[in-house]
Amino acid sequence: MNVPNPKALVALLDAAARGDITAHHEALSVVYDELRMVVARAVKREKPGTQIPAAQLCRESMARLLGDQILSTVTEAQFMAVASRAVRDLIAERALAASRQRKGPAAGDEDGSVDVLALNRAIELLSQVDPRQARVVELRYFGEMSAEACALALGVAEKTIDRDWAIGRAWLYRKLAGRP
Amino acid sequence: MTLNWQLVTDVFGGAVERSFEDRVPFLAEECSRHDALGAEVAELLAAYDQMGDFLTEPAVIVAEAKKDDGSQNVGRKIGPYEIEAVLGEGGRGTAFLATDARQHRQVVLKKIGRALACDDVARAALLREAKALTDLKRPQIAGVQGIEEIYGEYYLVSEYVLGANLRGLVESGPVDPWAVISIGRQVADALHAGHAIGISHNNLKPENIVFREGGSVSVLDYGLAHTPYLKANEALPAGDAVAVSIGYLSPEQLEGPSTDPRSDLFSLGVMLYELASGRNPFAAPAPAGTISRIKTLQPPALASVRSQIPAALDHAIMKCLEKDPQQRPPDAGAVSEALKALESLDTAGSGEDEDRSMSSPGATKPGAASPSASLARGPWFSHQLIVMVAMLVTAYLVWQVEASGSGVLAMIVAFTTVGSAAASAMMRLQWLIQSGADDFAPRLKRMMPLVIGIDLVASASLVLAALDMSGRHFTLGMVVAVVGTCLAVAVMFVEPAKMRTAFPTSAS
Repeated sequence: MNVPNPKALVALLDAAARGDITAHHEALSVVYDELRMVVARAVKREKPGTQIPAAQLCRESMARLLGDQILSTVTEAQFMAVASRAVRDLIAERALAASRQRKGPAAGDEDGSVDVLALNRAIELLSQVDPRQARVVELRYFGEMSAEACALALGVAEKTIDRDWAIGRAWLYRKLAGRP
Repeated sequence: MTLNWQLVTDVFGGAVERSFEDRVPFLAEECSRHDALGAEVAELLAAYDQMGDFLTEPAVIVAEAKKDDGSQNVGRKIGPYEIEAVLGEGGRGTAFLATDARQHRQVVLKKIGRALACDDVARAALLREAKALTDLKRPQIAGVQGIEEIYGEYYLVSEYVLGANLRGLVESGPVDPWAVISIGRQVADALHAGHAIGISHNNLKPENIVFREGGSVSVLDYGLAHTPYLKANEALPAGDAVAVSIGYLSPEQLEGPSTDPRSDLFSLGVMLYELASGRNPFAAPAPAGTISRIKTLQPPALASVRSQIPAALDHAIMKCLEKDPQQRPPDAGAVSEALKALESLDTAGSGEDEDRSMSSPGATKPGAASPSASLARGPWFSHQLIVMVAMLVTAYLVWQVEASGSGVLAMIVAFTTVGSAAASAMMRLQWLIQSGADDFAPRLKRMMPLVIGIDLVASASLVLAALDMSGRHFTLGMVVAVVGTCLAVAVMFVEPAKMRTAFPTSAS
């Protein structure tokens, strides 16, 4: 797919935020491609074992795709919301590839904190229970977005975001701890 | 039973906003008529209290040890270019083979480093150089098509030259002196053309020399090796992988960026020395050793390493390897002239080229790139002539004997022999006449199966004729049988090998 110019991408993000599914997929595909390149470069640049904050890579992709124009906080939030999804997919993809290379089940993150693949599956299950709660987890965990930015991107009150984040985390924690 | 999740969320949300002590009465009130709701919220609250900082540390991407070779970019599109393959990874970034969707042709894409991309003046200078080089339209210089900005990254776009690079030939051991002269002359010509418009290559190495179809050579990677960007830290990397390429730097390049075009002559000298002797005179196990050897070691005369090397070639190469640029030939043109003189001396000196190139271990090694088609075509040429003559003479003999005899079999054998021999000879004659054409190699490749078929028919009928006549003319029968068998062997095994050597690309 051809990469749209910054203006077109802003329009696409706006349409996606207003619920246009096609626009969302299109924007996601553009951001995903860019992010993958940014990640590939970052991974090459850093020493093995370095932990690069995913959100930093999302912001780098934003700078590259939207250029140096002055962005409104809404556009920024809309971009990061799409990028959070892209980075989640990318991390899961990398974990899957790594586990295939090890020829065994993924045994959790390198630092032992979160099993990336299990978390990804759990978020998928959560999204079947409550799509918005799963989305909030996505934005806050993968995109490091503030509650305020999440509220802008999803068009709900900040209080709702806080509540979704709390119950979303609790639900996932219970799921990953092995309880029903 | 299913719970209303919205209700769970609301009650849970209400509970977490309250202090720990207030939760119990709150839950008791909210869930008084709904045990399942109370149990679910209580469980989630327990998880909430236990989870601590679960997911509050944002997600990270861990840089793994696995080497990222750029292959994940294959199939991607960069602007109008679709990446087809990773060509190689150098110290200056990854090179991709890509298809230009606008012109439907293959190009090489190389991303230009940040330092250069951010420096407008240097970029403009590089662009000017690229244009100047392209305008030269020299077959020995792979065309730089320009620098393109795609999504904020700068890419050097250059012509894709299909063919083996010189590394393969270098690795396969010492090369016939004549091939060294021919390659050296062509590279010197290319350097001279660049130097004449003020452009040095500065990164000459076997990987950057490619054999084109037909055997002539092209110099690649002009432009990327722009002088100010061959910084000391770039030139002296610690890793072993790059040690190969520092082996071709001149002593002055090791000191810092050099603007003297004669630096290229040193690199050329190292390459030719390596080609002729089979080893890089300055190679050392560690980069530091290579560096000190380039600076101080006086390599032994080539003639002392390999006796077949003509003294004049030895002299020309050693002159390029002088540590002091002032002591080297004044320019690449002088090197080219010296080698050209040797070349004409060589061709005038003997007419049996094939014998010499056959005896050299490097030039005809199967699989190795051919040094120059004209070198390796000698054996192929004489092979064609010998087969033609053998075919026609034997067919004539068979005709004389068989056609005068009686019997249907004899007549059939005679006609088949003469017919196939004549067809094969005609084909070969046509090849000999056309072998100079540019697109000859692919045509030859296409025709090869047909000719093999005809030759096999000819040799089979020769053997049949031999059997038929052996009762009356035993000796002649034996001769014909031997010729028939030899022809079969030649067309099956000898000819394809010679063809590969003579027309390297036709075999790929």
